[in-house]
Amino acid sequence: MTAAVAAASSAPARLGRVGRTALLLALALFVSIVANLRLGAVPIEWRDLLALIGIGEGDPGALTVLTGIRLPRLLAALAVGATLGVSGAALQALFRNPLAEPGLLGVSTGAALGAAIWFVFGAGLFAGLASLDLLRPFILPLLSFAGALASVALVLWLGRSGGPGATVLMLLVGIGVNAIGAALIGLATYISTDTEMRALSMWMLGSFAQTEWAVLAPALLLIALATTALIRTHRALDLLALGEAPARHLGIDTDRLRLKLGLLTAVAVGAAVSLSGVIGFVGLVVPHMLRMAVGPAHRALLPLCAMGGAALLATADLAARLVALPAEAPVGVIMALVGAPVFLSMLIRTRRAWL
Amino acid sequence: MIARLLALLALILGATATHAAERIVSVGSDVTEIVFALGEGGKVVAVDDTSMYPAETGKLPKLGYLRQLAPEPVLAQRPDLLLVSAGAGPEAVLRQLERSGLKPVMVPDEASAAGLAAKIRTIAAALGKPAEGEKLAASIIARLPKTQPDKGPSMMLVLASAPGRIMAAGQGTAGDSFIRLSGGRNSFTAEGYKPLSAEAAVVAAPEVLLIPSHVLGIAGGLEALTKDPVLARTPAVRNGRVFVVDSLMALNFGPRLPEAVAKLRGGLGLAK
Repeated sequence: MTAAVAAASSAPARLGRVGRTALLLALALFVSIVANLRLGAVPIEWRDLLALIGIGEGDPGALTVLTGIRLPRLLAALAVGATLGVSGAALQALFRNPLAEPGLLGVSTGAALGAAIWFVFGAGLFAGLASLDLLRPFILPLLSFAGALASVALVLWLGRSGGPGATVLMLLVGIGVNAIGAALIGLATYISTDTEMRALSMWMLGSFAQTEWAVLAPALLLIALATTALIRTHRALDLLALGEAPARHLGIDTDRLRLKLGLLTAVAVGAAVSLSGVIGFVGLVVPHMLRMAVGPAHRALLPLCAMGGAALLATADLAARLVALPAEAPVGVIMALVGAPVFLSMLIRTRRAWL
Repeated sequence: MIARLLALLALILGATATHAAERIVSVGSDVTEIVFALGEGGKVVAVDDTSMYPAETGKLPKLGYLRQLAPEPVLAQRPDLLLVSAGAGPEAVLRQLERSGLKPVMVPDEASAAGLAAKIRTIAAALGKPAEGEKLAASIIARLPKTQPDKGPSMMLVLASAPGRIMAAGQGTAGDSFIRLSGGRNSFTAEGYKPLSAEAAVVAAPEVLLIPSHVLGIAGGLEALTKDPVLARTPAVRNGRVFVVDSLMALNFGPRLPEAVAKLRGGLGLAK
């Protein structure tokens, strides 16, 4: 209650902080984008980058790498980062719990189960489809997307109640559904061959190395639509901070809101996970850091989370591509190794505020 | 079936690559060993992490784990021939490489004597040395023992994913193929690599236990492994018939397979 009122009453003072933070993030985003395009295993010169935006001429080989490999990969990292940041912030508001993240609704587990089905049974189940070159690239992303959607749908359906304990019920149902998913993945791992198991565990580490335009384009569309819709729920999320009953008195249909947020998160994060595999931590660290910077009002927080998540994940992917040259490191591992200490240090510096 | 089709495809692709390659990127320990065995090792400019033999590979850039390749590191080596084990991936990365103008030659990875010959033929064709490939394949087949199936000692090949977590190589695995080629019977009848329970170890009762060398580090040494309560129940451990086999040599089904088989048969006192 106090937070929302404080946010409303000190609006002019906050505006300055929001503006400064937005400027800082925009700068970080720009630097990260340029660095991502410029740096990597294959040498790319400044003139190649200029040629990309239509100025002068670049090396044809470099341009092939830029447009075919580096650009789609960068877009995927930006989109996935933005999605994870926004949906993390939205779910933390919905569950009124700072630990909430998309994984709670079973998004990651469901997606991993879909991927496991592909890696372990794919050859047999989808033999007909997989033999078609045109369809083959889509099977794994579609299965993980479907897994994410199905898992969230199950949580929303089993966790529906309409009563005052609805949020807690949904959290517990999420834990149960996650446990079933994890057990099924374990079962698939048990009957898998060595090769299949390795392929699955590599997928679960998260990577953007395999980004293809054909898969990226539809995923980007879904992510853009769902993330925009999530950002537009900012007023309802602010009111929810007052508590579920007060929010209802103020005209928010909390049951519908819960359903809407759940589905939007499922679509956005499901599409994101189908691009990259499982990447944790962004949905937790970005909203918390930005809440410390600009306060809890969602009108500013959600778009800033999109920018912050995009900048963070694109930078993590750049590091993943550079630290292990001539090979690559898994971006999920980099994310946690670098992000977690930064997060911890911020928590410790603000420890007083938590007393 | 799929492996055969791939082999055929690779043969066709390899045959069309007429002019000899100068910069080879080789992915897969077996693939790399065959390239060196065919005398083209000097042209290899980069390999994957699993390619650790021969010693020359130690000086080459390593492009990462073979199932987690990334497109740019491969392209940065500017290869004119990319030889890839069929077990490598992710497949989306292979498609990206293809779109970038490289034609990855897929090398089948079936773990059998015939599979090894198919690998050699595929690679030799891609290198423009089909006659040398036939020669190498024939000499390898000739050096493998002519064993009678189901007559030799009962064996089990075990791995450890952590100290005390024993997995055994069941039917259809490379370990199973190695046991058969060495003239043994695989006493572990499950499909694939499966956790080994104490009861399953008693039922299997292998006379000979095979331990791939890379497992020793994970399991905490040979002594720790033979003291493992599950393995201690086997006749093999009770009678001291535990043999360490070189993981790459015995299980990657490369050109050193006959040596690995001969070494084991020598250790068991069987005719080479």
